[in-house]
Amino acid sequence: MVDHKTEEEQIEAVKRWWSENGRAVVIAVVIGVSGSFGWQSWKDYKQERREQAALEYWQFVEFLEKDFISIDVSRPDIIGDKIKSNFPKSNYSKFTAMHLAKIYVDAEEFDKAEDELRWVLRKSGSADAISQVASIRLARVLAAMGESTKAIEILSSKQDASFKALRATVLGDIMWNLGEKEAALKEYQDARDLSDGAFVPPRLMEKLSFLGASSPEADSDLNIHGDAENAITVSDQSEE
Amino acid sequence: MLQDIRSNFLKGPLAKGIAVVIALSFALFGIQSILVGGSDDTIATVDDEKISENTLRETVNNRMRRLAAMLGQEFDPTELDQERIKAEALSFLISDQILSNLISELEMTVAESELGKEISLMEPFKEGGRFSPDLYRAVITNAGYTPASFKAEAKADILKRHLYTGIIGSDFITPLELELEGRVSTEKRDVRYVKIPLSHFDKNAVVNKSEIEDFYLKNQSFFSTEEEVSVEYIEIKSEHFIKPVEQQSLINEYELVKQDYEQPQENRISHVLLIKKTDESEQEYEQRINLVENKLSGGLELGEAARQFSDDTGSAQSGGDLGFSSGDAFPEEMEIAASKLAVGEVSGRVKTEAGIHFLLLTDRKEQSQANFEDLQEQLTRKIQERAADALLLSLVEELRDVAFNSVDLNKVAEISNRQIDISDLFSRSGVDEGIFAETKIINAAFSEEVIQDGYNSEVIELSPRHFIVLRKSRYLPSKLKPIEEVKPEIIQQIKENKIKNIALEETSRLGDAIINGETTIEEIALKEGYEWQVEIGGTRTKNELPRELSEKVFSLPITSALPVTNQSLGDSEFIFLYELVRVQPGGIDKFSAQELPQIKKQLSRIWGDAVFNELQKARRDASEIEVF
Repeated sequence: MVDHKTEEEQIEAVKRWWSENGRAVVIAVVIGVSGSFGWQSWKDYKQERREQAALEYWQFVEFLEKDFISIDVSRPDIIGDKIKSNFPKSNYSKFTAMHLAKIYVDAEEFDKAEDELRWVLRKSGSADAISQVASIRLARVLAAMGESTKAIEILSSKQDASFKALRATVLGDIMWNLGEKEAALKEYQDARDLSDGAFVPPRLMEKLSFLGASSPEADSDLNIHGDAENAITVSDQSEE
Repeated sequence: MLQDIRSNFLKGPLAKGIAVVIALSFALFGIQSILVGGSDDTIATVDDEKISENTLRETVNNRMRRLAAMLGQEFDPTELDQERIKAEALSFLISDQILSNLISELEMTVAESELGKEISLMEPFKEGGRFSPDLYRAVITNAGYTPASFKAEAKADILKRHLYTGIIGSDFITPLELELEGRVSTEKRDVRYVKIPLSHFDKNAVVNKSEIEDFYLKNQSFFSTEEEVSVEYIEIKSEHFIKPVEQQSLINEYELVKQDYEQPQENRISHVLLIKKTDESEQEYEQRINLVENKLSGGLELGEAARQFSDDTGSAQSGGDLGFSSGDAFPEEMEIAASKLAVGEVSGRVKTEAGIHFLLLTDRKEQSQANFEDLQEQLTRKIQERAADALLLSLVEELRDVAFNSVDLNKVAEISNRQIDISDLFSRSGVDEGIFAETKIINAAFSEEVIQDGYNSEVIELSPRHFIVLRKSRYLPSKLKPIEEVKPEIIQQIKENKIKNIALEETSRLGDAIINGETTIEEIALKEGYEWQVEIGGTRTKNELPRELSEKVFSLPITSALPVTNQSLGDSEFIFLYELVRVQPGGIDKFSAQELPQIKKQLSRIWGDAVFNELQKARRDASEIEVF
């Protein structure tokens, strides 16, 4: 439709609109601009805090490498706890707690190591990368404390596919320690099957060999082109 | 009416809503996010983070340079499998991106000041033990970085170090695990063994006729020929559509691209640099400058002056030579001074942030223009290819329909103006080279539509400039080879198996004899002239046994009194007969006090690596990775 209004009427309309909405527009702009500054400075603040956490973490690590003697756990303890309380949400604090857990394990103060690892777990979501690392370590610490049932519970409770080979290895260690060699062997074999060629859990092959499992390749000494029926299968016969 | 809509619209709550949205979007994202667009040369994405073609190219180049440095004179770029290097580089970049994504998800960061400190401590940028900004700039430029890209990479490295340290460095080994490690790795086994060639047993391995027939019947799939096909095909390449180029379009093209071929002026300079020493007064410094100035004007060669007086120790040795610059390698003052010199001329004082320089222009490459004659050939090819590609593209579109709808290749040949060729017979494993070595072609040739239905294949793209259409010409299905033809092979196979069985039986008997005290490993070996060995105190992690034997010896369960004997087929040539004489149980107490800390450290590291590996694998599985 054609626009019939005169210029004056149009100006009048604009004026009217401004008198009705001018305030809202001015407020929106003010909020926008000040919000922008607010958001930016809040972001800057967050960034600064992160940088500070990183810095203090790295100083902690350097301290551990250079000055630290493993018997004296009081000093790293103080520094580490300060980082944890200053930056409770930073992942650098979780790293710090895990370093502390290591120090306590080395000093055989397992309940303190347990506390550190539980702290990490409390601070993280369950699917979080660091919490998966911490939960396996917690199970290992519990096993070392003789709390095998709790350890097994932790290792079996996670349903996700990741870290499976490592979980099975830790389960194997626990079973073996309980004297259940058959169960241990089964866990280790699971671990072997779950790990892809490029990566094998710690000492897995040696443990398997100790418990009397030869590697799968070694079992196929004799092989005829695909036809199992015709293949003359031979296994070593132990002479007694 | 429009007016009404407009004014109503502006008055309503929607208007206010929009005003808020606009205000917020500026507040949250800043103006740059709206103004800056992304260039698109993405070749892969990892959870929406892009990896650019450019990054890949740089990574590939870096790898090539590293290879060149490693191989030295043996380096021959033409021998390298470019595709493989590219694939490996891409896989590396993807892993790297996965880590970067994890790092940013964990909100890890490093302060700008820390980054600067870290860079200033890097050895390659130090001159006389101190960080040199000039050297820094020269070194990174030479390595193909800009200061920004170098810093970004240094930052990424630091963050990765944080992550490694946080995950790997915080791992441990518990006493329980150490106990198991002791049992496993300190157990010692003493073994005597003899290595008997399998050929020793072959006189008793007789193969009879019924065995051969039986074997043949049961392994038919193995004794069949491969199915083969020969195809009619039409090969269409961009180069088939090359046409002459008109002079005018060549000139137009030249006008468009000529500045891309211009070379800026490049100057090669040598310098003497005098830096004011901290314990030096202004006067003393001035005197030093005067001395050099006088020597130079008195005819001392600048190269010699550099060797004697220059504070730039890096270049002083080489007569002050700084190499070529196209105007951006050195501080601006130096570039300007150099541009005013004639070759062989020495400058007066040139002041930069570093100190006072005297420059000698040793060489100059003048600015070069691209002339038409030089570029003619190249441009012609470019225009021709562009035109041919376009022609090919529209032709292929048409051919897709035609190939699909016709019962032979004649129409395709007619439209593309190409002839129909016929291939030799080939199997699913293809031929060594040429188009019938290409998986795409082989798959198409053996597809159900081509082999069974006898249809044309679709138009197969080997590259954007190379297309093939094919159809079956002749097909030879797989068939069983006659028994006469495969007999030697069968006999060989049966014989090998028999020999192995005989070997196992006979060595088993020998083993019994050893246990019963009738003979010894040594005696057996000496009688027949075999090689025999003793291994004393070997462990799982460290022993001198042949690998295949070591596996058997250490996984042999100890269920009866020692010694026990057993045998193990080695590679295809030998059988080992071994006697396990003694087993010393391992345990944590077998680690010495000195080695224990080292072992703990090593095992903690192994656990940490394992965790990190699992973490990477888990992240990779959870990431959405796309390669274009």
